Amino acid sequence: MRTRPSTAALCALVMAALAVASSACSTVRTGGNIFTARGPGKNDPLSQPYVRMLPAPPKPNALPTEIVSGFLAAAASFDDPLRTVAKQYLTGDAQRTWSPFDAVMIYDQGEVKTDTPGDDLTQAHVTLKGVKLGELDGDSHYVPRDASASNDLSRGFTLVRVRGQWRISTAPAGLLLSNDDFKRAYRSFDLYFAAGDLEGLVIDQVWVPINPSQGLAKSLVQRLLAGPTTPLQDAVESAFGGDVDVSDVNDVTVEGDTVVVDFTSDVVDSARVARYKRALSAQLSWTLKPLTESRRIEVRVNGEQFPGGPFIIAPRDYQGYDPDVVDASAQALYLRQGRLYVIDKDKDEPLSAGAGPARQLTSLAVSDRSFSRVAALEKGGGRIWVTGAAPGSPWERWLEAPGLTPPSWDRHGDLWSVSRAGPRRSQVLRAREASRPVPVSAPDLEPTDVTAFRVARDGVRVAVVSDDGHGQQVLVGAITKSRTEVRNVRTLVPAQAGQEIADIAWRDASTLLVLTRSKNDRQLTAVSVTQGVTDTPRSAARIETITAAPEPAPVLAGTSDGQVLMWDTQKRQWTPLEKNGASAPMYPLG
Amino acid sequence: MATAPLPGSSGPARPGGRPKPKKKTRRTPRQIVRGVRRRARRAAGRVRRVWRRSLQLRVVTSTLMISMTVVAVLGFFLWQMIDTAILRGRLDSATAEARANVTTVESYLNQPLATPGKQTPSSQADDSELIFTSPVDQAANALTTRADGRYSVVILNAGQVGQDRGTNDVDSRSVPQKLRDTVYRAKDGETPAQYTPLYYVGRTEAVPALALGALVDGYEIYHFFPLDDDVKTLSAVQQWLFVVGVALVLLLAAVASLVTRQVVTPVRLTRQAAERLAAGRLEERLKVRGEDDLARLAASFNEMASNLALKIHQLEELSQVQRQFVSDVSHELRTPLTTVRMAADLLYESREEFDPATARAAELMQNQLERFESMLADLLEISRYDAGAATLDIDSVDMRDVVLRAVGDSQPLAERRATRLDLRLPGEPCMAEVDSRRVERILRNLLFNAIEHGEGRDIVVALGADRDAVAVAVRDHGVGLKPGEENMVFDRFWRADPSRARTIGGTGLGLAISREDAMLHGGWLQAWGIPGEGSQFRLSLPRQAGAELRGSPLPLVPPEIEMRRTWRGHATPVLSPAVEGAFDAD
Repeated sequence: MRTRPSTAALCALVMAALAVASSACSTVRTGGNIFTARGPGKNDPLSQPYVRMLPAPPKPNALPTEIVSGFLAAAASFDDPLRTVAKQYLTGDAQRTWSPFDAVMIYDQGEVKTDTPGDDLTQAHVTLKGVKLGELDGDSHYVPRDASASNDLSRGFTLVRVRGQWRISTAPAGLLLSNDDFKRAYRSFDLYFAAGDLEGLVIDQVWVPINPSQGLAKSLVQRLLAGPTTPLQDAVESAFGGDVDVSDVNDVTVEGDTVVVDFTSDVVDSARVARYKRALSAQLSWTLKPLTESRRIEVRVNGEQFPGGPFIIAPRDYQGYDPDVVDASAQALYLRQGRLYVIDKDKDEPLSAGAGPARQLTSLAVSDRSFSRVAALEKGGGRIWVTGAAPGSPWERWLEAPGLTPPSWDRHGDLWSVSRAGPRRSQVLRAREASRPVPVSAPDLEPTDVTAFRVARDGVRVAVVSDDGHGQQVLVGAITKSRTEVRNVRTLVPAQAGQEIADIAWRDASTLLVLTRSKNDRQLTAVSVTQGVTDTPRSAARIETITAAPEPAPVLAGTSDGQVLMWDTQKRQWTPLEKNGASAPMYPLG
Repeated sequence: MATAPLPGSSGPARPGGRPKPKKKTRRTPRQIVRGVRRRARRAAGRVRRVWRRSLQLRVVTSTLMISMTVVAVLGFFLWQMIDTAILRGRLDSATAEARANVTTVESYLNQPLATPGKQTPSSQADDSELIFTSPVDQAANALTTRADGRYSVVILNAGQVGQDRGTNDVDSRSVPQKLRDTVYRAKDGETPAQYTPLYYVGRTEAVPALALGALVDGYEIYHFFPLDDDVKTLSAVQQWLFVVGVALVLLLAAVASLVTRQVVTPVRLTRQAAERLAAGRLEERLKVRGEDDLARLAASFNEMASNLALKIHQLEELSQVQRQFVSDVSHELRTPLTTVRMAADLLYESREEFDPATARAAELMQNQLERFESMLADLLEISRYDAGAATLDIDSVDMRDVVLRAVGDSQPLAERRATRLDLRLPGEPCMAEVDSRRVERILRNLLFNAIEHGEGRDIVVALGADRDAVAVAVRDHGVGLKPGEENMVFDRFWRADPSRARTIGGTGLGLAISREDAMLHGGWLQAWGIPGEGSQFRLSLPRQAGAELRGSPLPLVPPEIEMRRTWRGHATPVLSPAVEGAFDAD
């Protein structure tokens, strides 16, 4: 029995040791090396914060206006794509006929009014009045309102009593979203589709609805698989091919530094050809860039490794697919007495290319960053001359037609221009080599007077200044895949009385600079071809021609008095770069 | 040995209780239950035995119990402290954040309504810069940007339509009704809080969360801080506490076991040595290691053992000398006695020529000489036993003949004392391998003894036999034996009443020799007696020479006495044969 006390003593000893040890550990260090403090990692790096409308079922004994407001609010909630809660505001018949997928209309300054005072009636009429802002196409493509037409919105609701409660019996088809609702429920994303020979990408902007039960990234990939929007319908293709559709995305997750995009087995066929696989990778990495940042992307098939080795996309391998083609470091050329100069503060020597007799040249077009080909329009608009980069290469005559617009290169090395045979008779021309122009069909442009035709750097979009008799307007279209037609032409800047379009220039793949000239003023406006106006116009007195490259490359302008100006973004004014008869500055492409 | 009389352990020893093993009869539920109970009892008995026998087990178990209690209590308080600390910190930071957010919301809701300027969706090219016109959207947007997924906010307005907002994928059913009621009743500056499950849209399982509510201008603002990280931390801490606690308890048990082992092993060695010593191996000694208490115990034990051995040796020598002395004296006395006897015979034969007094003296001398001779013979006999020189002359005989011969020898004496001998012999022969001369002598001695103390009452001589043993019981109805005298009667020269004269002229060695004879056969000679009830002597012998005797065919206590005793309810337990055997081995 001698062991009992000794065990107890041992117990006490162990406990004491434990207490001492634990009290020694609990102190916090007060010195030591400097270390980087990392905050807590976000739960889902692919998600962005957003606000949701919480749908509420109709309140008992609500007034007709309250019912309509509640219906609009519940319909604006994106919790449930089928809008089950919103349908509770409808009568049984209306529930069957109304569908949220019919249309999406965005309005502002909305007001719900009733024209039937008193609630003893069996039927009530409520009107939603506001200003229409735009519509969302079925392919999530935002169509701004037609600025030329009236945009007052007036939508009527009819309400009847169902078991003593007001319910909507007729509602306008589709969703009516206020601007707030729209901004809350949708996020704009750029989709990228392959163009040309799958060597470049074209931006396509869509509005992706937020679906809280699946990540934004998954919604975005699903939308990418659904294909391009209407304006680019025939101009671009998706490397995923037609067999892969929305239902083929299983999930988009993050594993460490890799974003895993899980498809069904349909994607294996799409990536069978190496060219397609590269284009597909470029599409994915560029489309997901705003969410994934610089993370690598791994494509998996049904949760397993891609057959034939891991399919990992490193975004920097696909920089070459940039739709802008050139970056901010691009240099511009200008003309002085028929010779080509590079805009450079230190150098004032003409380029050796473009030898031969000095011609009266007005506008330039540069095919790429190394100036391998430069095209120029002869004064009078009858001929377009092209010279190579090699020293002493002569001017060759490529196009000869009446009333040619300033030339424009596309990224594939084709020269584009429009000839005007007479009033309202334009013909789009494409030339790959000297004196072999190919006419390109453009049904929307041919019966108008085209004064400018510029192919965007992505090689697909074209911006056109045309006049159909109601004044000059800026149109945007797309060159089809076969490169034989310009299609889907729509108005970007509508005609206004007393306004002329002096020049247009692509800043990047989706932004167009428009130089307008009214009676007493000239203005330069940046217009997003996917969204609408994005910039407040800046004054541009004296300016005749403009050229631009992706930001932060400065916008250059040629004046009528022989100067090349540069827009200084800090001072917010034009500063002269070159003088003494310098004209027609031009960045490569665009 | 000292096996405890366990109720369960004796049960299965009896195979008769089971059904016949050859026939596979179906066992009734009752039998099964009994079997289970029996097995359980047996297991419990085994455990109890181990428990009682192992000091180490007891010490380890009690250490386990105590340390488990201590660790459990300690762990509970530690857990409580950690839990409180983590949740308190979480609550504090959550409250601070929620209050700051409520202030932000207030400022948004109280600002003059934003002038509806030029609003086009394209004005938000940068999608990080969402500009809303309605204050509640502005507020909700500010909160969700600030929260950045760390917590969720729900804004509800019971009064207006279409003013309910939630951040990210929080589900509106997360808001508990109880909290809503409390928020409306809460005073200014109070932040009602509740631990509640937090639901997300599109996910079925809820996350434990801390909900904080506030009311601003009719807008209820609920903050949900998910606690899943804290829960994870806490459960990890809990697991660690458990693992550490279990490890600690096991460690303590191991330590206790080790310590006990260090103490118990020498004690066990000492016990084994003592057992061997008790078994007669006097040369047994312990190894002495070191100088601690246990070493001193071993040393003292060794000293005791050697002293004991010395004493035993001395006593053995002494008793050897005494026996030799008795033997020598008996031998030496014989030669003069022979001469004296011859002279006394002469005197006795010519006694009629002497005067009556002298003749009487010659007769007396003759008598006493005979007694002296028989005493000498007995002494010689007993010294032969002491020297271990006694041998058996074994022959298979019918015990009935032996009994009858002994009875025949005692008949004259019985007639003289007017005592009737009642014989109860079995009908068939009962053969046994015995030395009939010695057995006859035993029986004669018992009969003489019974006649002498029987006070003329009947003496019953019974012969019993079973498969292994035969027994003869001699019952008298004399004065009986006092308690404790049952063994003393076999001592040499012992007499019940020292004042009483020996009438039959016994030597006082008869019963001692009888017992030696019985033991030589491997049998028992036992006595029973109650004052006033008489006594009974029972001789039990194995049927085969050299076989071990397990029981006796006849009871030691006469059946009528036993019956009367149970009748009265005086349940003095009958001594089991095994115990009696131990007596006899003395």
